[in-house]
Amino acid sequence: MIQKKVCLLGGFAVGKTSLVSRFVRSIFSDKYLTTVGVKIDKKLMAVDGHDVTLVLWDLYGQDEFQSIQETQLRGTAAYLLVVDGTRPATLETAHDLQQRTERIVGTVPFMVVLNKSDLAAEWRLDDSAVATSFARSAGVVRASAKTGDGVEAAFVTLTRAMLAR
Amino acid sequence: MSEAFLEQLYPKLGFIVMQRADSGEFVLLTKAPGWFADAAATAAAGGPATLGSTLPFLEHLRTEADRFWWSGEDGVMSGEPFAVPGAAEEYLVRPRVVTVEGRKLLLLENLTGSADSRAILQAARDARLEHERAALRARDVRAPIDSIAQLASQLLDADLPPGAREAAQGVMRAVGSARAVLDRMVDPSRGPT
Repeated sequence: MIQKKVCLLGGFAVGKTSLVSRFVRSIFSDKYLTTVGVKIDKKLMAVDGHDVTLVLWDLYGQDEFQSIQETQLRGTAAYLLVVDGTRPATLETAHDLQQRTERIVGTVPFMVVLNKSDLAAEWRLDDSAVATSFARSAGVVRASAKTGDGVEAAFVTLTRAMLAR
Repeated sequence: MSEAFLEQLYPKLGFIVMQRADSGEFVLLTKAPGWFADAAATAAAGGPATLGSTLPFLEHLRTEADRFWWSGEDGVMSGEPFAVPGAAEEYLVRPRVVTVEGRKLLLLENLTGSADSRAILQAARDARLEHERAALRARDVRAPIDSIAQLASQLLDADLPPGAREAAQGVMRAVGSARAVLDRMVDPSRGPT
């Protein structure tokens, strides 16, 4: 059995916890409850004939109140950078986190998830520009933890990128 | 102090004490309080019921703590708080890894409700989120206002009859008022102008 540690990183209120809830438990809540401490979940996946257990580290949002610690990133095989598609400021946070994470864990695979795709009328990101700015990512996908669109695909693509290494 | 005394003392202090067995599993040394049993039961739903596998953070701790335990020195290592899902609420625990006379102990301190830091953080982030949304809405409105201001400014540069000039000046004053309202939306500390 292959087991891989995957961290979810991003600014506050971008939907990291909601993405994990949707992916692991198929549930979603509209209520925003900020994460305090680190949440660890597991999900067994079958990708391209491999059984892979993803150990998902849902880290609290990065901002002036809380900052990601090096010890939390240790041993990370891949990470999801989560951006709120309705809040451009969260893209800057994602860029900062990506650079910081790469300094700590090296060039492991990562995906960029543009979350809240259900809020199409409030969307404020140019997806192709985001993809260009994260050229080394395994992919940039729109997703919605609320509807579930794109969530499974993001984790599958990331797992595939891990297995390909 | 006797082991029986410590078994009673630790739960009163809000600690759960476990020992790492040679098999790698954690063995409870104190009676598990309700919140821990609740978290373990919630995590175990649909899965095998060993502590390490039902509460994934324990599995991580075993790896991290082993680095410390195998050093063979007595001491204490404090870790980051972990959020542990329960049936009714989420629990926050801070792990402490201890070696005493060769015994590899894991102490979990229940921080849930011990401080209102979560409430403070939640309030700060709610306020920040609201501020961000207000700034985005203001930016949406500012773009057409800037276009109106530009047009009015071009009119004022032209040779206008007196009535039309007054009207264009009125537009510019209205634009200034609208911008002030937007500024206050984004930064209420500016107050009324």
